[in-house]
This record gives sequence, structure tokens and C-alpha cells, in this order.
Amino acid sequence: MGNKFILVVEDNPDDEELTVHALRQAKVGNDLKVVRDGKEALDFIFAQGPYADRDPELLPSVVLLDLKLPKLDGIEVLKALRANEKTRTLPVVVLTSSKEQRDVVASYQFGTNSYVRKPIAFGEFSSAVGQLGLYWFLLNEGPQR
Amino acid sequence: MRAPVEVFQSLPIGTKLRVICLAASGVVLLGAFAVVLGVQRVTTWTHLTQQARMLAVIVGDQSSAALEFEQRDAAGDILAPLHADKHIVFAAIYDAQGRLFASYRGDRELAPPARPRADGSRELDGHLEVYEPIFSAGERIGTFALRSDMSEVGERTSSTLLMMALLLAAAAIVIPLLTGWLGNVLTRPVIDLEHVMENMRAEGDYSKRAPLHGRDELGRLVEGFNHMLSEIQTRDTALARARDELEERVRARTAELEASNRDLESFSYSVSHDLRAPLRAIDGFGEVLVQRFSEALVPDARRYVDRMRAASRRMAELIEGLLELARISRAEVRHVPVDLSALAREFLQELAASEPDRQVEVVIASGLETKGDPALVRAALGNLLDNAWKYTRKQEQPRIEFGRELHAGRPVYFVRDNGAGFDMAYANKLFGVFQRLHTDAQFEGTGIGLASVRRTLERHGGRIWAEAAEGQGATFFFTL
Repeated sequence: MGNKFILVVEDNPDDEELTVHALRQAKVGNDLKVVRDGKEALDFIFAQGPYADRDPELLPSVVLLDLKLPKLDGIEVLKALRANEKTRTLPVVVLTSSKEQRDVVASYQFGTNSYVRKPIAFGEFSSAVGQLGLYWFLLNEGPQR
Repeated sequence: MRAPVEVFQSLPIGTKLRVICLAASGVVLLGAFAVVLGVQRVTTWTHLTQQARMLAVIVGDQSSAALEFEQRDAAGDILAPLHADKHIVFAAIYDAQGRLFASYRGDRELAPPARPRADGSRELDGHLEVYEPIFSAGERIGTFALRSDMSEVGERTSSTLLMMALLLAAAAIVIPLLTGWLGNVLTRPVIDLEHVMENMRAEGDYSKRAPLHGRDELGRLVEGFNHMLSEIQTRDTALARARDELEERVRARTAELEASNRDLESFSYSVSHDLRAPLRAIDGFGEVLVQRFSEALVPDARRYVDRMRAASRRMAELIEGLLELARISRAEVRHVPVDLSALAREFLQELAASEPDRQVEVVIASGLETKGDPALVRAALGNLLDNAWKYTRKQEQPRIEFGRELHAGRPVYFVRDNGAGFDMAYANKLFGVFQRLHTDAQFEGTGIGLASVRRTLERHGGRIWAEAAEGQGATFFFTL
């Protein structure tokens, strides 16, 4: 894994595999890290717990964050990221099943960069995820760290 | 400045009673005094007249000898003692020829007349004059005259008046005291009644009762008042109980509603998240299967995979529809002006743009405005226009109309098309969830659209109904 990578926070193995598949199709799938719940996501990003030996300076280009997660849910992960000086500006895209207003509002309120609903039809899903990967991984210029 | 009657009317009842008694007693007393004074005056006058005449007869009798023998000195001596009565002004004796024979003058030095007047007594200048004949052996030999002032009448009247004034003064003191004391019988119940009423008005206290003082009209009035109070209290209690019960019921019902709304919301939430993921997997892995193993799939296998994927997408649509319905049910409805004509125009333009090959005649009445929730109304109207667009697909000259009519004076909006229509026998199924009058092969659809429209209109206090005939188009009427 090089210096640039995408972090996928996804508990559903089906969605995980489809997401990975879509990112690979968009040629951004080689630099991926997948974690299965909110706690693991924070452990990974802040290099703590099982990820204590990881270089904490190495942050993903973008976090694709599901909302409904075991242990800590997506909104709590978002809050924790935005509360920390180091990850305040880390690009986060909420990628989830629902378009319930309370999810959308809460996500933006706690500082998501984008909110994307996973389409059911795989064609649409893979094009949406592919474009997200391309944009945040290749095109977007984040702040210099 | 208020009229005296008004002033009197606003006096306290006790004072009024005193004034009345005082006035009545005063009138009676004064009347009685007038009568007494009149009677006293008359009797005094009569009495004095009789006294004077008696004196005249006696003195005349005594002086008959002196007159007969023309002894003037003797006659003067007879008259002299009259000075003992200071009321006598003069006395005189005339002879048979009417010449003054002897006379007596009192302190006032008034001389008797030169000739006697006619016999008898008369009032003259407030004085009494008496002329009595003097007889001797049955023959008239002269006349005795006497003039007496009547100041005694005035004196007596004055002393009587003084007494009366004292009496009046005593009455003025005693009568109000007496009236106040005895009047209590009348005023006490009224004042008590007033206190109870005042208490009731000021504090809304209906539990106090006016005390009963007797069984007269006032007593019955108090009884009636007390009875009325009991009645009011009973009804008040009943009313309060009914209100409490109602409030309790509303609270319970509200709690139930809130609970079921919460349930619905969390149900929707988990449906939104959890029910969609498996469908995505079915469609997604179907696609991956087709992509990666296209050579290995025989045509039938490929067809089955496609049908599985189509079914998953269909189910996703159904879930979407149900979520929409739930969202409408629990959404907060705003009431702001909504331009229905503009919405309809916009919507039909979008539909036309999505299918540029179709030629549809569109008629939209302009200026149709109402009040409602913009998002919900937009979705509902869009649903109806969508249907019209969809069901006129097989029509050679499709026509869609949106307008407003008056039904019994109330505005009713309508969306009319000349499309497939439906059999009115099934009209009752039209607005039910998952109810369809056409197969998917004829016209695609989820069977949720019209249910959502009805729910939206109901949440706006409106309703929807339809008129149609198979093959001859349909009209959907709605109120907002």
C-alpha cells in the first residue's frame, strides 16, 4: 500500500465486495483498506489498539463511511474525526443505504464532505462508487499536511 | 348630576328603609299635628267666646240696677274689676237708647264705640266682641259690650307647636334607631345573600350557602338562590369531571399516536437501511456473475439471472414506495401558497422532455393557487400527472387536462386524460396500497402512487375520487 489509499468502512461483506469491485473497475481499487466497524475505523485512522504499529501520519485520501455500523456508528466516527485536529479536514464521504432526512442532516451537520446513497441497481452503484473513488483519490487536492 | 331618584335608588337598602320610615312617620306626624292644631284653635276660640258671653251676662245682670237708677259711678265700679283679666280691651254699658252709659278701658286705651253693635259675638281684627242685652223685669234696659283679645289662642298654639317640635325631634332620633333594629329582619337576609354572591363572583366559590332567616318571600328567595347554587355546583363538578376524562383520553390517545409514530419511524429507518442491502447484493452479484462468466452461462441461465435482477429492482421500488407513504404519514405539513398551475406545467414539461417522441395535447388552467406543503403537493400532483401521461401512452391523440371546477360552490381540482381509463366497479380499490387495476405488462407501476396521493390530500384535509370508463379516459378530482 502506497502513500495514497482509500479507507472503506463497511460491515456488510456483500456491500464491501461490491464496493471493492466497483473501485477496481474504476482503477482505484488497488490502494484500499477495509475496516468492519466504527471502532476499528478510529483505531486504524488514529493508529491505536490493534493498529498501534501503523504510521499515524499516513491518512487515507478519502474515507467511504457507512452509517449503520456495529459498535460505533458512522455519525459517531464522523464526530470523532471532526473533533480531532489531525483529521478535521480529512475527506469523508458518507456512503449508505438510506436517504432518511435525519441521516442526511446529521451527516452534514457533523461535517461530511458528501452524502451518497448506494443505488440498488449495480450499474448505477458501480458508476457512483467508481466516480467517488476517482474524484477523491485522483482529482481532489486535499490540504497539505 | 344625578336625579334624586337615582341617588335614592343607589342607597344601601338599610338607609333606604330608614328614609322611608322617617318620611312616612314625618308625614303622619305633621298631618296629626295640623289636625290637633286646627282642633285646638277652634275649641280654644269657642271656649273663650263662651267665657266672654258668660262674663257679659253676669256683669250685665249686676249692672242692671245701676243702669235702672242711672248711677254711673256704681256702674263704673262694677266694670273696674275687669282689669284682672288682661285680655279684656274694653267693656261698656249702653242704656236703652243706645247711649254710652259707663265704660272700662284696658291697658290699650281703646275706646268702645259710641253706639252698640248688633247683639251676639263676632270676630273683629283678631279680637272678640260680645254684645249682650241687659234685662230688668223682663224688659230690655240696655246693652253690655265686651272686647277681648284672642292672644291666648296664639299662646296655646305656640306651646303646642313647641311640644310638637320636641316630639318630631324625638321621632327623628328614635325612628331610624328603631327602623335599623327592626329593619334587620328585612335587610339581613339580603345583605347575607349579597355577600355569598360577591364571594361567588370574586373567587368562583360555589360551595358557600346563604343563611336562611325566615320563610317569607325573602326566605324563599334565599332558598331558591341556594338551590340554584347547588345546581351550578353539581353541573360544574360534572363538567370538570367530563373535561378531565376527555383530557386523560386525549393524553392517552396522543401517547399511543406518538408511540405508533415512533414505531413507524424506526420501522421506516431500519427498512431504509437493512432491507435494501440484500437487494443490492442480488443485483450486484448477478451483474458480476454475468460480467465474469458470460461465456459459461447458457442463454437460459442468463435469462434467469436477468429476471432475478429485475425482481430485486422491482422490490427496491416497492420498498421505496412504502417508505414514501410512511414519510407522507409522519411528515409535518406546512401551509404556504403553492402555485398548482406552475407545478403542473413544470411537471408535464419534464415528462415531455423524457419522452420527446410523444405528442400529447396539454391543457392547464392558469392561476390555480392553493395553500399546502410544497413538497407533498408537488409529489401528489406529479403522481397524478405521471399516471395521466402513462395511461395515455396507447392513445393516438393523447390529451391531458388540469383545471378547477366548482362542486356545490367549493373548488375542486381535476386531472383528466383520455387514456386507458378503468372499470368504475373497481374504483374503490384505486387508492389502496399495492392495489392495481392493470397488469405490469399493460402499464408498469407499484400500486403505491395513488395511495400516497390520497394520504397527502388527507393530511391537507382534502380528499380524492375518480370518474372513468374503460377505454375512455379517467378524471381524478381532488380537494385541498
